[in-house]
Amino acid sequence: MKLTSIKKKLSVFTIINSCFLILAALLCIIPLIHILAVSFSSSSVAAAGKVVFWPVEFSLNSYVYVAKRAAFWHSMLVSVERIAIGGAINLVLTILCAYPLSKERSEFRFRTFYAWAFFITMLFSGGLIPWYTVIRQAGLLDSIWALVLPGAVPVFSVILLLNFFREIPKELSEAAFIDGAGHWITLWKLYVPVSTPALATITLFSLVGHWNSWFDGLILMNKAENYPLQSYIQTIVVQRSYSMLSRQEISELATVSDRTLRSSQIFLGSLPIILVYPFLQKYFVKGIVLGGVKG
Amino acid sequence: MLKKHLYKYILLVLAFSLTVVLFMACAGSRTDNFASEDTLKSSLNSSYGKVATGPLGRYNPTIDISFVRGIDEDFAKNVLPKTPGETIQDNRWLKLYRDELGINVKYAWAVRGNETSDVYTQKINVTLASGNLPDVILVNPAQLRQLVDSDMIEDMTEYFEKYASPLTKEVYNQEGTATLDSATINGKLMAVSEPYSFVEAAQYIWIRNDWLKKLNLQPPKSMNELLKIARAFTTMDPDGNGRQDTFGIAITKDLYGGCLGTEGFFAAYHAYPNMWVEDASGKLVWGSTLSETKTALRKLAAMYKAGELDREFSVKDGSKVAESVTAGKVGIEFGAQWNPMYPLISNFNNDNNADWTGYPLVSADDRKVMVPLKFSQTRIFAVKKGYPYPEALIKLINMHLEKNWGIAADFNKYYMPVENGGVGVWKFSPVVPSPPYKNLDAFLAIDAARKNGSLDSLHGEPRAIQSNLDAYTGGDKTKWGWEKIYGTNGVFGILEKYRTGGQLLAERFVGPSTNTIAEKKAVMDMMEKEIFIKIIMGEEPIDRFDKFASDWYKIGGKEITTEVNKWYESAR
Repeated sequence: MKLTSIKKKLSVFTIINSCFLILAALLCIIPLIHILAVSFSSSSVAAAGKVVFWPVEFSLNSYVYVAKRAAFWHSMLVSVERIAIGGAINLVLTILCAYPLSKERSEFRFRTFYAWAFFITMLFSGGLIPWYTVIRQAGLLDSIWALVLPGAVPVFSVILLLNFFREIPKELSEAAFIDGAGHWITLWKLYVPVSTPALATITLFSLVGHWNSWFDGLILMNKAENYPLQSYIQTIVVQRSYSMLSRQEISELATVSDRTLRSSQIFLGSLPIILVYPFLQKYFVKGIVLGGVKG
Repeated sequence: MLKKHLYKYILLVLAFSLTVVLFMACAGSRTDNFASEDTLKSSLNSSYGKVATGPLGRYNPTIDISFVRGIDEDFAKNVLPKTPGETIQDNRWLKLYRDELGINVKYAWAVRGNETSDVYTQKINVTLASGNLPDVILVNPAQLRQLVDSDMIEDMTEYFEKYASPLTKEVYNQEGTATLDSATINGKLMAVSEPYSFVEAAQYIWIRNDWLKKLNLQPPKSMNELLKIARAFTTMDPDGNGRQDTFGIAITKDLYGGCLGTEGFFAAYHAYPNMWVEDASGKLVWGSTLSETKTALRKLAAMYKAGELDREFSVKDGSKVAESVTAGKVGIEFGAQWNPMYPLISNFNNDNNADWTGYPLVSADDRKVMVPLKFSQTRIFAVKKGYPYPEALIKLINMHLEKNWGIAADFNKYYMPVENGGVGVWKFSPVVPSPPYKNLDAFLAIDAARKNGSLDSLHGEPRAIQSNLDAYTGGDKTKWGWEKIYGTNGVFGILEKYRTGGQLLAERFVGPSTNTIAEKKAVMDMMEKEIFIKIIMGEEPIDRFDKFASDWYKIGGKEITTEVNKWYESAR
């Protein structure tokens, strides 16, 4: 009697929960499927809004066109360069910042001060214009460094990692010190190897962050050739407004209705992250859980 | 123990001061570099002075001028791929300017998207705020005001007077003085805009002829007839699919616009919302607040109730409504001459029977209908204060007009070269002024040639257009729009009738943006649209309009009207 009621309760909960989760998952995946279907349809039916989840009048034209579009691939290259350089810088600096901050105050006297110094930047920012001016004065405009240096230390990741470091048993590092290792060796030979789940998590954060950011590319790049991929996509996706009458150029109007082309570029633009995600996800779950449970 | 700590502190302080010194040194050397560059420049200027005189005189030695620019989709997708060897920084126009004028054009930055895009606006705002201006900056009226108020740009009055060529002056005054007036602040010409073309903003009724034929209807001669057509398009199943899924007139949540707008509808009732018109006493008033607007709104509300407008128009923007047009769900829309290029051609691509044709606006009574022409300037060039050659901008404009529409024009090389697939290479130039009547003139030339059978004698732009018309006749369906615009029944024929019949009504306020406009107008426009949409949808009774009209004056309209009339007095 008792057992079955528990079972019943469980299953009702499971059903509702599953329904909710499936719904949430659908909400995420449906727009993507729609974009994919549009990108494989012929452009005239797409313009009429007739494509929903399955391609109508299947066509590869838009992909053939994108394949030949140099600007797209150049932007893709800039983005790859950006995540390679930016991701590496983020990772190294996060480790180097998190290690000392994870120490007790007795070991590192001004720990609290530094921790606050980092933390405050999460709450307040200098604003758009000072941000731009600093980068310009530093001579970074129009180079890949403008995209990776301003956000070189991701404070959120630092906090995540320093909490993770704190969970590592003290005895381990004490043993290392007794064996004659200094901080440097302890960090790289001991802390880093045992923290792979956390490192994978913050790497994922910084890769996704770099891949998705578009605003800085638009503002900091002076040549359109140097746009990273998402900035490039932003410029083609944003709809022109015809509510204002202005000098209209006939040849430009003819380019407006290319929905399939836009869709194929959006899809190709999100593909790399979709591919990388499953490989990092197992660490991702582990990293979050480990950080939480042991606290 | 203490000693050890002390040692640590000293080291820390040393390290800190070293960083500061290093940083200062770096920063210092940078500013030094800049300074020396500047002094070099000014010494060069003083020793050579200004050598070039005359509208098209050459600078010797060559001077530099920096611009900013937008790269629109057409430029990236059509022009650049079809002009191998030419880039934004090095092309036929920049070479022409360098060789013939001695002006070396450079770009401080370029963004993807034209000057009305979000990207351009954001980038220009950052540029203005950081004070790092290029020599010539392309701005909109609000930004111009900002530049003038902060005294960052040169007064161009004298330079325009002295350096504008006769052709330039003719083009700038062809359609009245609105273009120059809009950049004249406190009696001084503070910037040079590209000529704004009022006639291009003229609206037509675009109707699906094939639906008319199917339902045995005649093109509308009056507003009553048009309303009947709209009803028939809604109720008589013009697409023949057995369902009542079509509606009469396509409109958007923006209400006004170059396509899918309502201006043409309002005009039938002699109402001119969203622009400044003259009242009986010669004062300027905001058209939206007049009682004629109420009459037209009442009609729109009745149409909405009868299902002749899209039930969901209030949440659909232009591109969303364009989907309905493309899917063949609607048979009437109001818009400018370019509508066949977008969005109407997408309907034709899906259904070759979709025969959209432009008709003149109609009147609801026996008074003749006036065609509202809204003024909206988006391309204004201002010169940075302290730039030694402000007249270079005027020279570039002279040269651009001269090479395309002057006596020694080389249209095929500098505008739309046949050998490059007829793409608009004129976009390579940083300034792209064109005569306001150029398209109408081209149509008239083609039309005259059609009548005399002398099509072969066309040259310049009319010839390029005629080749598109020929291509359509020869079976190239992508050129459908050209036929609708410039063909025998093209809408420019209607425009010429508008013009000769005195039916064009240009917006009267063309002055620079005023303080209250900058501060309040955007919010007031939003409020206005919201109330109009609610009235059309029947959520508010029609008499709510009267409250709107009096509220409009209370929340800032009074001040704006005073400012606008003050300008109007002084401009007359």
